[in-house]
Amino acid sequence: MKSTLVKVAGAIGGACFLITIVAVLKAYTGSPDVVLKNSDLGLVKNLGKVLFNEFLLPFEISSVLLLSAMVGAVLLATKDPKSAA
Amino acid sequence: MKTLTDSIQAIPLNHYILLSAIIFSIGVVGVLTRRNAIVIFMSVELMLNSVNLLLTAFSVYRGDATGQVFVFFIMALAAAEVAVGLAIIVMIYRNTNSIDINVLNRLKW
Repeated sequence: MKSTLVKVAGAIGGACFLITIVAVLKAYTGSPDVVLKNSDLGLVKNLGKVLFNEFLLPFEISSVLLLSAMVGAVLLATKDPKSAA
Repeated sequence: MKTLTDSIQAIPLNHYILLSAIIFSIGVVGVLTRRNAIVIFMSVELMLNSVNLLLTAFSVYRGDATGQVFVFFIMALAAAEVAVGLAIIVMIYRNTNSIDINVLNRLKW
């Protein structure tokens, strides 16, 4: 009973979300084409230049995030030998 | 081959936005309706990846590489989130022998 209620609520919520986005897109008529102007935009060389110049600090902070996530995952998922025995 | 790449490059911006909205809505419905924790994580990944697709599309449209760098950070965040989430799922399975998230309603109290 509760499961069907949750399903109906999820379907209605997702449908409302999708309808809103489609209505917004309908109001915005005539979208321009996506054309790649400079063809070396997504190359590794240019992305690396942007990543290591402008976004150097977020890059380093994301390494801290990954390290803490790794430590947390190992800490959570390893079996406690005292409680297992 | 040249005409193929030319025809691929001329996709209107609305199509990218519409595809991303559809994928994001599938993720929202999956998160709200499914009771299996792993399927919920897959739906969260769908939502994150739809945002990634939209960021790359706008990055190409504006001719700015910043959006593609943001995609890197979103991927790193998704990796961290999935690692911690799967560890939590393993712990829940050890405690309750199930990954059905209805057993988590005792977290309310």
